[in-house]
Amino acid sequence: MPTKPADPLRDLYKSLSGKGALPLDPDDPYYVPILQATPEKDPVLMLWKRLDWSESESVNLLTGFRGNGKSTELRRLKRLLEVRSGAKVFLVNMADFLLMTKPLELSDFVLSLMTALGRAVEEDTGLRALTHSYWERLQRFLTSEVQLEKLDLDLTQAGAPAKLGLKLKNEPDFKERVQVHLRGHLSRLIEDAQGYTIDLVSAIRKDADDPDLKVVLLVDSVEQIRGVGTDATKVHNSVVDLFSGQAASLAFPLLHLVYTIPPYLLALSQNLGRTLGGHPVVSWPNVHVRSRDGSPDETGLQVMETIIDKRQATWRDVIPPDTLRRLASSTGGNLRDFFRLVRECAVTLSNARLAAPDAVLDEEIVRRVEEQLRNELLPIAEDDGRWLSRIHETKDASLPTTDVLPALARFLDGNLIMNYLNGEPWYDIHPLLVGEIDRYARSGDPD
Amino acid sequence: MTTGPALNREGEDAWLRFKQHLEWCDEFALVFLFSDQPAIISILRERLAAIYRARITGLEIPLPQTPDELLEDLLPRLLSPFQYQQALNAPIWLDLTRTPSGLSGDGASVWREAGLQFLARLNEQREPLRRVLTKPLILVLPLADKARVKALAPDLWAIRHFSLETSPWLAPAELAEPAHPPAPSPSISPTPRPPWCRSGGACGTREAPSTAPCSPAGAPSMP
Repeated sequence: MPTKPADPLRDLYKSLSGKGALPLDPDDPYYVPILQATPEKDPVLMLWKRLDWSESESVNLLTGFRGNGKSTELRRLKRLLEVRSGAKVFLVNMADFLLMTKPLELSDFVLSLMTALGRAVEEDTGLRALTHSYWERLQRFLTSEVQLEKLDLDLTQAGAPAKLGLKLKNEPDFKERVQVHLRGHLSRLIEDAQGYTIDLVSAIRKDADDPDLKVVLLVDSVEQIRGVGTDATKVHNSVVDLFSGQAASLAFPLLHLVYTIPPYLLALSQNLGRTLGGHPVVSWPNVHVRSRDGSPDETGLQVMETIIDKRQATWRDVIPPDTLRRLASSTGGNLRDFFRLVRECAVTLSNARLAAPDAVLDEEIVRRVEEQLRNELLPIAEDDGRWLSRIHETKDASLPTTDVLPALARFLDGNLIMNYLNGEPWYDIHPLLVGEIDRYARSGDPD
Repeated sequence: MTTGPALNREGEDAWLRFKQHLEWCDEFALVFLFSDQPAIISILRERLAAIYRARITGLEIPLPQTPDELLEDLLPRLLSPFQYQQALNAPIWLDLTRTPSGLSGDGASVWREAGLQFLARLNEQREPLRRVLTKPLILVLPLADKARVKALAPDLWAIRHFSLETSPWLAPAELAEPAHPPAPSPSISPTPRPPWCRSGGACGTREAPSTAPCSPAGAPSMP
């Protein structure tokens, strides 16, 4: 069968696309330990140590930006806990169970969480017989006591819990009905869920013949909850309420939990972790490609280079090392944007070589590629521009009032601002926006 | 070699970029194409369709006619494609700038609202979408709605493979011609397709895409 001739540009492109752009396991050939040089600053090591030392149960919070490798690092945490602590670990992706753009209440969040846990346990250990009694009780509770109409599910049947999760995710009306019907029954719902986790952990320990086995649930993707359009404020308020006002109900006996939370919660309340679990929130930062004063961070730039090196060892034939570093700096250490820029360079250079086979990645191509990414970050509204200008100047993203929480969430979601942790936590705008935002600084702040 | 209506230099560069990305992309990928130029959209679609027509699998061009078809048929079908479709890796071209023929006034307004709902619901289903779809999905959207789309579908936007914004790229000779973008080319479909789906390369056409300008008169711009 004929094979395609080697094309280093295409190979580089493909190594950064498709499955190559998805979360990685720690033993994946593409995986790069980003904070290896500074283990004392590694949030995942910190989380592992906390969990390793925790007795009975615990809650920890992890935050971080879209596309900066959080899900990959949760997989590393899972591996650390399994291999070095001998723990039983379940990793669930709440994007499969939560409707991320509608207001949350404790009721539907806990139901979604139990659904995710139930499915993970069934898939992993086959403890269907044990989980059965909880779903039976829940079925009775929802239909007879709460009288939830149109449940249309027999939760005692195999696979039904996962269907409940899907229903909560896919049917906003159903989710709202659950919220309304359960408002007067939260204590019972939480008690049942707590009883479920106690039974589950006990059974897993018995199954493993280890009465002290640590059971950990890593809850990924909760940080993606955010309001859009007219629901924005309601959704953000509901998330704040869930992780502060209702925090006590998010801890479960015998179970160690790590929740990922939206980064805007950190800006709202630095002490959030004390309310929930007693530990400070841990933040997975972008790769430190720059220092607070804007100067390049050599260690971080080297990490970005290694990331490409692991994927395509011949990249230097295509991209001069200085140019790769420039691209890394231009993305502020955000991996998704970094991959986009490198892919875009490969495409542009490939097209340039149609007319000039000896074309190289020159200043003009790099400038055009950066312009492309900058354009994707625009347009920026005047008000946003003024606030971004203040963040750039002060390196601080604290909220003037909670009313502007949706705007901050938008900045964080859209990578308009980034968070770093070399030293104290600090924020800055996306490097490619500096020129655009400077004009707001020059025009003064009318507020 | 590219045939058909010509683009100016900038347009041809953009087309080459668009084509090369798709050429190297044989897995799931989300592509955002923002445009207020129906003629340019048409040229890009036809050129792409011609490429995939030659490869048998055919560019898939869903043409839902009603909000119900968009939300109740197309959305679930994207999330649960027929088995034979999963084996094909030609992109799906979904043009949300077009207004189905016969819709005007309130109907067009309901259609635009449905377009927004479609994006919001697709956004909620990002994970299932990227699990089941094995080909690029090209979302053609009104340029004026770029900021709104980013806010409405942040999860989709976050994993975009690339985006493209069109400009008035018609070459001068083309400008002299009346702007009648051709319909997706009819040909023979090797496999059955749902009624809302037409393939630019591989199946017959019920309707030519609207040639109305994107805004404000033809108003496919989202509210």
